[in-house]
Amino acid sequence: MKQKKLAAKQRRNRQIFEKKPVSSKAGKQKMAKEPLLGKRTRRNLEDKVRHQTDELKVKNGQLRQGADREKIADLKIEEQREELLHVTRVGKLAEFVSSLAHEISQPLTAILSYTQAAQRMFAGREPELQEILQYIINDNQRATEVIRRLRLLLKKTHPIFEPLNISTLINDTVALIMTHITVRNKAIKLELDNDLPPIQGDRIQLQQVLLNLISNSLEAMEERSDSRELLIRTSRQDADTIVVEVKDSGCGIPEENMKKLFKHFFTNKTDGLGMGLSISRSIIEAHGGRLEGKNNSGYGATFYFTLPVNRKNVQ
Amino acid sequence: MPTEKNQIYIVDDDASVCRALKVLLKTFEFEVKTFNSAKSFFDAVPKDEPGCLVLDIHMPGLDGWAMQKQIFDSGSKRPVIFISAERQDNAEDRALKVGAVGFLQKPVNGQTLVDLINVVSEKK
Repeated sequence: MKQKKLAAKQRRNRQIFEKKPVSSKAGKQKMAKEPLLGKRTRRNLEDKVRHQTDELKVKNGQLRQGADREKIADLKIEEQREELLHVTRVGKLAEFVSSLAHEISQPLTAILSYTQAAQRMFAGREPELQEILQYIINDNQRATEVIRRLRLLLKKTHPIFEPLNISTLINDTVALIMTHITVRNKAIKLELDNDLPPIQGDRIQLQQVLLNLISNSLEAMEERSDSRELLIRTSRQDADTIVVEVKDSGCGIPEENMKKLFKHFFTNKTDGLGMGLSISRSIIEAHGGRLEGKNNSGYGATFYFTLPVNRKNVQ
Repeated sequence: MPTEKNQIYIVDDDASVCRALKVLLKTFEFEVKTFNSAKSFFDAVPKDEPGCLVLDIHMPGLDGWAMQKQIFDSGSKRPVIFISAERQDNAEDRALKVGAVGFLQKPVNGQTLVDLINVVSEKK
């Protein structure tokens, strides 16, 4: 008797610990004896569940149909977010450059003042020292010029549109960068159509675009010692449009970079900012033109931009 | 005793700029005193003590514009030349409008600064 009681107790304990009352005989008995719900309530509930399941199925179908739409919407949001980030980064960069320019200008001021003081102290004496002091001043001016250009690059200015002769503009720009080209042992060839009508544009901004394209080309040609020639060609696309091409024989553009070329902060240079082409494109677009790049059939790449002809000045 | 013609005050929060400009201006035979803030200048220099002020714009505390305004409002006739490392397109116009002698972008060329100081002194 005592043993039977003990066995029953052990079973109960096992039941509690195993937490499987339904599968146990005692549990089943309990459920049969005490049904939790009446038959009618149960049927109602089953109907309700079936109804809700159907609803869910329909909704699921709708969701599946909308999934593609949502994906597209997500992509758009992602794009907008990226765009926003770019704007923020450009803004932040401008801020950063401005504070950097200020911080560098301070020691440059001190260096220039000290050097000019030394020049005056040794005036008429120590020619070798005077020469060195002049070199310090020259390099100080060089650093100042870098800062000035950096500030200019990120400055938001309203362009000054005036009638421009594209050949003159290209010749003036090439003159600016000629030393740079010669030092790198490269040559520049110009094929300019001198009969082109004037265009309407901002001289400084268009020079900035040309300088950017030329210096990109020079860098692309750096790796190939046998590629020497850079070609700038102008032509008429149609009655209302002229085209300027900058063609190099450098390393070309890898296919996977093609789409990213004009994105802010995209660069394949180790020391590049990734700003040049994106700024250049926005300048050209502000002039009503287009800036594109493509690989040549042979070596290198060509960047070309179009500009509308200034109708007022066409004779 | 310094006269108005050769006394220069420099106020710039950058100690190195102060020291360098002082060294340079001394080679032009000027008497130079430097200060790192508007407050230290006002504490040390009475408003009618003669001398031209070379004043940095971007400073913590009272900046150059505010300091010049205070000088101007006090009725002092002290000539002020603004200098700044910050690029401000309309700074020169603004400087002249508020009654200063001029504005020079840093790095300041010594001779340009001295020429401006001399123009002021000769006017007096």
